[in-house]
Amino acid sequence: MLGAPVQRAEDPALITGTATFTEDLTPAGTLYLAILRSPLPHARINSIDTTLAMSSPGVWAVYTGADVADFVIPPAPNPKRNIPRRFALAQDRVLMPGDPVAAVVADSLAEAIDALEQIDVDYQPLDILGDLDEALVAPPLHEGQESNVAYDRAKGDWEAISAMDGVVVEGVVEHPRVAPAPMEGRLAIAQWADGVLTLRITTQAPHLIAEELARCLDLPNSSIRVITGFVGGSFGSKFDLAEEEMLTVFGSRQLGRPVKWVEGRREHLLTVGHGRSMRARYRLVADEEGRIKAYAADWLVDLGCRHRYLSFNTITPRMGTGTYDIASYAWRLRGVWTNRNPRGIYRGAGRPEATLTIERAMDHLAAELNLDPAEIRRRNFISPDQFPYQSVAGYTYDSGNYGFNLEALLEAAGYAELRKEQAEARAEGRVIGIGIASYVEVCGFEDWGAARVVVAPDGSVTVLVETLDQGQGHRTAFAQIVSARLGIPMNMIRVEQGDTSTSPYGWGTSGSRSLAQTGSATQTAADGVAEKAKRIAAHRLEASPGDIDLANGLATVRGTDVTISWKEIASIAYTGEVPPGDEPGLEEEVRLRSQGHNFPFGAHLAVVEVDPETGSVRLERMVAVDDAGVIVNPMLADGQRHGGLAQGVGQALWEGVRYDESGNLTTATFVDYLLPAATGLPFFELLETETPTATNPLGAKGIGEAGAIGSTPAVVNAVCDALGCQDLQVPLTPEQIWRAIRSNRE
Amino acid sequence: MTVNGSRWSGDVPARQTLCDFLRDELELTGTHVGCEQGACGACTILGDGEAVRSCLMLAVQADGMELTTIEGMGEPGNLSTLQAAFLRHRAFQCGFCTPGFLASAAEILGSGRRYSRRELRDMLSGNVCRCTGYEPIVEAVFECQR
Repeated sequence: MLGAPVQRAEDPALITGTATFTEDLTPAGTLYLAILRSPLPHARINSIDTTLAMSSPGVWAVYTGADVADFVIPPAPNPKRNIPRRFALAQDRVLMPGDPVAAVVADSLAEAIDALEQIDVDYQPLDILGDLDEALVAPPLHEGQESNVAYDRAKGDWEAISAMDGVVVEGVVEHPRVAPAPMEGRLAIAQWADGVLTLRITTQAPHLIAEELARCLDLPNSSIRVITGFVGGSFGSKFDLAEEEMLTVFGSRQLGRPVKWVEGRREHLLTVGHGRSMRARYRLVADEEGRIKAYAADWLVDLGCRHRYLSFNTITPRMGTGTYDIASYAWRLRGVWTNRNPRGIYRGAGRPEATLTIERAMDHLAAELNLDPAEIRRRNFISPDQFPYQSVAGYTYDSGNYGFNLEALLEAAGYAELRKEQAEARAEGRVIGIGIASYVEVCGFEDWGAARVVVAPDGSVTVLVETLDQGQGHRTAFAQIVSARLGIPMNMIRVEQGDTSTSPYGWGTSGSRSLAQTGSATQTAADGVAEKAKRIAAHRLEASPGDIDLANGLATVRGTDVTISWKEIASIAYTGEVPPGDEPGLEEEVRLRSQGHNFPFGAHLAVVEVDPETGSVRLERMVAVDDAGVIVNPMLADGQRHGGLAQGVGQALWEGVRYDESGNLTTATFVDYLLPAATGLPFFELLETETPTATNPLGAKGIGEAGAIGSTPAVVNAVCDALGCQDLQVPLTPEQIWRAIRSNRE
Repeated sequence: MTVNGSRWSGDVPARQTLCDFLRDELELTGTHVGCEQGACGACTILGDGEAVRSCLMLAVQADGMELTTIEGMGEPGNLSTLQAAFLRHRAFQCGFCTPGFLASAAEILGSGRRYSRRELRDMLSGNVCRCTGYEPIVEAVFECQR
């Protein structure tokens, strides 16, 4: 069963429209919440007049900042760490376009929106922080802070690297903001009964939401139940508690009715945590043979106006050296406040920024030395015998085989032939580019996964997990694991998630952790159940537990035809005679800590053709060789890779959040914010290598984010290769390419 | 109007969109709203056999029309050919955009013409899927042309 492309149990419901997404629920008596948002990026609120709105039809309540001044949205404010306080509604200032200013609760959504238009806010516009360089020296956005630099961390000897002799390349890599943009936006329905809050919410991490709410409301965790149904994608955007979700909870408690909020797409693009949001400067020093002597990178992070989960994280510099054996490394990471929405989590969360930076630098170095981009990588890869590898940035890479992986990519793509074809095409005046990128990422952030395997008296099995499938197919993968360990068919196993009153406490789904962490916990829990089942079978069959095999729904004494059925074992566990020393029942809950991080890796290759007249880029081929260790379900794994590749290509070619000079968001619709469509993508060519990890019993590494990490630099490197320049920035808009071609000709 | 084979008549608010009418009044929640801007195609249904963005159309405009939503295309255990192909190719992950894709694909297949995979990619580009990267969707629709 393990390793097979098993179909998902939830698919028939999803394909027929009968699966219940949270938005489909409307408890009796539900009221609707709508939010008045700031039209300005930075302004003082002189006054808010809600009189007319209060008397608007259907309105139950209108809230402003004063009403929610007592509630602190996580993370907790911390003056020492420059973490400002976060409110559900603006207090005396708005700090970004779309900042929540007031909220209306009404009988219907239409009436709530009508009432919003009756609210009169008097704003006094203030200077805006948009440009990062200006923000560095501008007066501080947050009172009580000395500057707009929220943090400034550095390691390594930058001066020594600056003074180092050799072949030197330097450049800037922009990582513009991108929107996670799941097809389903955020939403929440809050309901109080007998002092217990039930929050139905579309999220990746129900337990974390419950915990944050408990802190926010000063209630015990046990008084909060978070329920999550089907989730219409997330990609990082539904991880932590947001202002709007807090407002449904507040309104519901005040009014004693269920309160529902559904995010509009414009709201999503305005206020969701944007991904990436950095600018990097690199300096790469090598010898004449292209062997790297030192690398230095300075990342300047556009934090937006507030702190959110992972805002201050150092994953990017710590993954900065990528797949290369680099002895001398210096980095700096600064987070800067601006009048934009908070930087949040998006697929890859820190690793794409590390990878795009060094992979651009590597191609730059290759061009400087007139070496093939594949060759420059070969000369610098960490070699297989160096694992576990202690990176200069502080991580211990568990396992890897980067050279082998790259050669597999080059062979699959027909690299030598491609270069010939490129030369021929160029002779005909066609502009073709080939780009490769090697990546390694970090997953399994030293936490544990949690799973409970419960066998009912009839032998059917419920697996309760703390992770939250948003389309990945966890239910199927986890059921495959249990099926393999208990020797029972998949249709006897149901995987349950998304209800904090029943699922074990845990971190939820993020950082490509679900299979490696929680899948491994599931396997270990299933093993515990299997051991006890064997003891029960052995006791009944008068054999030794060590001689019992579980397969095909039977326990068999090895080498004999003496059997007892799985169902009988389950029945004995609850109503029969269990072996001496065992208690009744058949279930196991496991929290399993990983032995360090796991480091998935791979190499991607892109072939592009550029139209020199229009500057448009056509992605002709995308080849990916990924290594995520042991694969449990190749169909599900390929789905993750495909989706990641599309998002990574999207970041390279089309996606980019833009603001105008006045600080207004100009990408607030899907007409302006371009997502990848079927027409712009090629058929993906996937291969895999398999280098298991010893950090978890499955031997699995993360696969959810890999596609989005390697593909962006592969495409950018391909376009830079096509044009013979090193300073193009994502997204590679036709305008930018057209201008680059024109300036090349001059 | 006729919705999934059943006649419906009544009054609707003049400003109510067709998708809100389907979801809130008829409780046909299989139609999902992805952007309310006509750009993502998640809310696509069939109106008189043509793919229609139910977020861009008012309910009153559907007066007299024959509508088919995801609920009218098949049910678990009795899937349409297209749904079965989507299942086989795993042409969806979170499934939120899928009802819209099925409607757009049904319109394409309804033409009776055979298209290349490349052409199908162009024709399916009015619908956005953030999960799959589209390849299995294109394959599923291509297969149903046979």
